Amino acid sequence: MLLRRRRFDKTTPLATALPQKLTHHQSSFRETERKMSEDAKKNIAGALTARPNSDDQKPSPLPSPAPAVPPKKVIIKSADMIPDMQKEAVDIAVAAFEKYNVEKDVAEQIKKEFDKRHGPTWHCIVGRNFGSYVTHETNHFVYFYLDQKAVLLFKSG
Amino acid sequence: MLSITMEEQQEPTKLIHGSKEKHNKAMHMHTTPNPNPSQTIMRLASLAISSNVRLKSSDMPSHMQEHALRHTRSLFPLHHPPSPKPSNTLIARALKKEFDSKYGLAWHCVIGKSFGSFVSHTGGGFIYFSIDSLSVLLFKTEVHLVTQPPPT
Repeated sequence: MLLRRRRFDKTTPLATALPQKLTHHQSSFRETERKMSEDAKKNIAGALTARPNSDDQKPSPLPSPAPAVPPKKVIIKSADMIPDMQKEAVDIAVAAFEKYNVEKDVAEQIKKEFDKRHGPTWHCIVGRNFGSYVTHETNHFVYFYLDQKAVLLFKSG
Repeated sequence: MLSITMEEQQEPTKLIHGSKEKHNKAMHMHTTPNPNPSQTIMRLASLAISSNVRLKSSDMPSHMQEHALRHTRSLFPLHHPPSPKPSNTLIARALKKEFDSKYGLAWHCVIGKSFGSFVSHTGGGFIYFSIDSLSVLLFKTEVHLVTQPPPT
């Protein structure tokens, strides 16, 4: 039986956490969430109980000081998704960024690919500067950075 | 000069929307029929002018559009410049919660200066507008009851 795990750091580390790179054989990863309010934490705590939907809050992406050096740096900011699907999302996003220059085209590519592979209905937001608040199905949410672009992908409806 | 175009044709549920620096001043609204459409459009237009908002795309009844614009405007401190500006995430949360409580689950909100999106939404549950220098995307999806408990 698939274990559903969800872990958030309760305390803010003094030093900036090192970015976690998603690798093919990585089975677990450490998440750092700093910008969530107490209400958001309560919402997420509520999500740990078996609920069909959970409200999740996304902080605004911060500009990365590191210059873009291939291969692209991947940082999983927040996820409620099985690791295989997360890797799939990152791979599709990397391919989409190579193929398209416009953010909405990248978002379209990612959403349509996930609609095809994992059934409707997915939603995708891509950009350098945005804040969001969404409701997603359990185990179908990921928010990650590709260099300086943030990608929000979730299933709802 | 603002130009307003009202279209009654059926709009596909999948929409592509991106945030651009230059805001298009042509307003395209897809509203349900109402007894006095011209008055409704004039009210929305005057609201847009006085509140410094630009309605870019909409598939939503006019009263809900007005609600979204007014509520978002109220979230920005207008007469107290020294006070800190709320973050995009908090504004998105407030707007989503407002619509969740008034018009049913589940709404989603994205606010920012630079983002692209591709989403699906229910009919009558979509609005995309700009306020000051930010773009706001608000849309609704269906909520399905879970017939089986999720895997533990």
